[in-house]
Amino acid sequence: MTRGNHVDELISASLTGDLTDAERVELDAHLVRCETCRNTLAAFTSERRILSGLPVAEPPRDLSARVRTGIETGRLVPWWRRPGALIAIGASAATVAAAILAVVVFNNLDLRPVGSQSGSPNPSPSVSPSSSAVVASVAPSVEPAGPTFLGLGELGYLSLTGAPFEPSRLTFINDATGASIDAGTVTGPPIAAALSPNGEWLAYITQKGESAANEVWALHLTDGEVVPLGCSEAASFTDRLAWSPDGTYLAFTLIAIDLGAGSDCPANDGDPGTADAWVYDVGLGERLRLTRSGNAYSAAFQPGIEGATLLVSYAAESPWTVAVPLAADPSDLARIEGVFLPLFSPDGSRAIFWNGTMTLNGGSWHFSLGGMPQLSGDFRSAGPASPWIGTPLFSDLVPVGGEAFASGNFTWGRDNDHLAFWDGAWTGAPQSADGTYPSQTDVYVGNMSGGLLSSASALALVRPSDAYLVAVAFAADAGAVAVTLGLPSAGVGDPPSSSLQVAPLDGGSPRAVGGGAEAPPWNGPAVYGY
Amino acid sequence: MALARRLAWRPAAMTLPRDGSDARKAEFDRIFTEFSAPIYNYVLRMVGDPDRAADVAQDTFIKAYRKLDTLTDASSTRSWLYRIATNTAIDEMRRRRHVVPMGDDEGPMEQADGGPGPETQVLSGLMDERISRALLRLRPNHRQCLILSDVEDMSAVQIGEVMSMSSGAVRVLLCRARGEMRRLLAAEGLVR
Repeated sequence: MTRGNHVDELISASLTGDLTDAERVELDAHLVRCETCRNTLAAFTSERRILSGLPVAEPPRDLSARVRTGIETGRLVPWWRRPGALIAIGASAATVAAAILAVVVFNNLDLRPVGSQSGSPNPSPSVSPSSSAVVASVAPSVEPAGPTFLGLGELGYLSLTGAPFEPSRLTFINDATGASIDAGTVTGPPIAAALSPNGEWLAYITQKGESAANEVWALHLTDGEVVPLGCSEAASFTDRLAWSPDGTYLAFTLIAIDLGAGSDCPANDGDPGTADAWVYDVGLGERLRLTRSGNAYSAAFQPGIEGATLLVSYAAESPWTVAVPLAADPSDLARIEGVFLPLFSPDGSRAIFWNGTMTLNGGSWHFSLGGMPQLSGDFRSAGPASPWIGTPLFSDLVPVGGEAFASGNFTWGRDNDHLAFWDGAWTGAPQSADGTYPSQTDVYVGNMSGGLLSSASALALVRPSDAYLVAVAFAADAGAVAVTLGLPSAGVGDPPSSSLQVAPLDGGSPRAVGGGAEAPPWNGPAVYGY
Repeated sequence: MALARRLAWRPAAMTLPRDGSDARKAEFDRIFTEFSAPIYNYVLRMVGDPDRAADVAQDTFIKAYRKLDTLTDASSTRSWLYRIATNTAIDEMRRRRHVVPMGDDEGPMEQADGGPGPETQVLSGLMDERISRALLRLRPNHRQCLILSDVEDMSAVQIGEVMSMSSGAVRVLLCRARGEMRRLLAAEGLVR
């Protein structure tokens, strides 16, 4: 330390009474003969006076209420609720078409698979009180507060009724008890649904009239409150509704669309055509746009780890995914290359995800080369290979010249073994002698222990030839699937119609749900209590 | 400096969850009533934005409630609480370095040292713009110790308890912070 620095330190310490007697004597003696140091003392004194005179601000009047709520709920303010806290990963809207020019702001690029990180899935073998033996490995982190609308294994489904050219009324029905909840009027049929793990909420997506748009909703099954969450262009990969394991957050994707005044769409300041991940915090009743990249899709919450961690996928020529902790420091975001829209098995041990080359075509992203759903490795394995090196879900499909699936949907059975794929848009030549495989109108159901999917996995359904697949859900014991089949419109203005069937996987005949002489025109999608 | 005494408004007493003991509730209620205003002002000067400061203050008291059992000496409540607030504010500033609105290609990313960026604009409504600009240009640890010393009127020992440093290290840090602040205030024409 130089002499000058030493004296400056004494001057600084003198302002707060932190000098020893000897130091005080030393400083006083020095100041008598050093004008520079006297100027320093004057400047430091002025600076201290300036800071100590700063005006005092009143805290927010709701601070005590906010603290109380935080204590009661055990939750801190999620970083993404804070001003400006929108994750800055991915390409901006202007550069989406140019693909992978990422605005990477995290300084610790972690390429490890999510499953191998600290706090990675380590599924509990315990049986939760609300689970049966067939879902023994599922360990919900939060138990339902009381009786839920759907009991364990019970089927619930959305039902749409209405006359031509009139708004349709949507109802959620418990198929076992016949109880129903009114979800109000909508302008189009429901096409996706997801029950929160605690059984308190149903999230669903409806088509929005003839606008080529969808609407995302959340229905509180206890009090019937319906929360509109946003409008989106109807596009591939936007019908994923992801609940956090504790039922606290719902993640979804909106592609901004301008439907003009009177559309009743909740605010979305994104440029039309841009896809972004959104989160609805059911406890706070807030919905927030999580990203601003224009190419981000909500994929799934990671099961089995503390705190809600959402995987967000970025569409690009070479897509990638990041794991975003919603209530913790998001600085160390893992970028998982080549993985798009992963979906974890209920116990978090495996994931199904898309892999391939994507293209922005007609305003929405699709796979253009080699698009194929993949099964990950086991995240519980301690081996050196990344679990994200996947195995093609179809064992007998050979993409020729890169032609493969452009899009499609998949889901898991709650036994962590069964899986299903449907609505797969195959761009290549048929790979069966009769030219029907793979088919966009087939549901392929298989399991890991049985060798995944093949042409023999197509489910036998009762349907018109021109029916199209809307949604598929596994029963709680994975012994059946509930399939919603959309039926062609009978004419302009006619209400949409569908068929909801529960198909047992043991080869039995499908059972129609919501049938009968006075069947409403549209039943489904279905969900199961678990 | 007893900031709370300079406020006309007094924070409302809290009604706490039923799962805590009466003594725990009373203790936390006392802490919140006494320190909510000082803590809010402290973190406001640290992070520079009223909304962020409210979030940090909120998190600080929630953490304090959770950690109340670790407060064994009531006389150290102040340094204990400021340490929680400091860590929470630093976490917030660290996050701030990593998160900016997406797709905002026109604006520069916030500087790694936490200032000045948009914070200055916000603080200008609460204090002299030039002072706030200078304060927010300081490195976070310089800003922190200077606020604790000159605004909160803490000694080097007390600051050391908050910042987990020796009093000697605080003296050195504080001297450097004063020198830097002097330079910044001089640039603003406030000191020589």
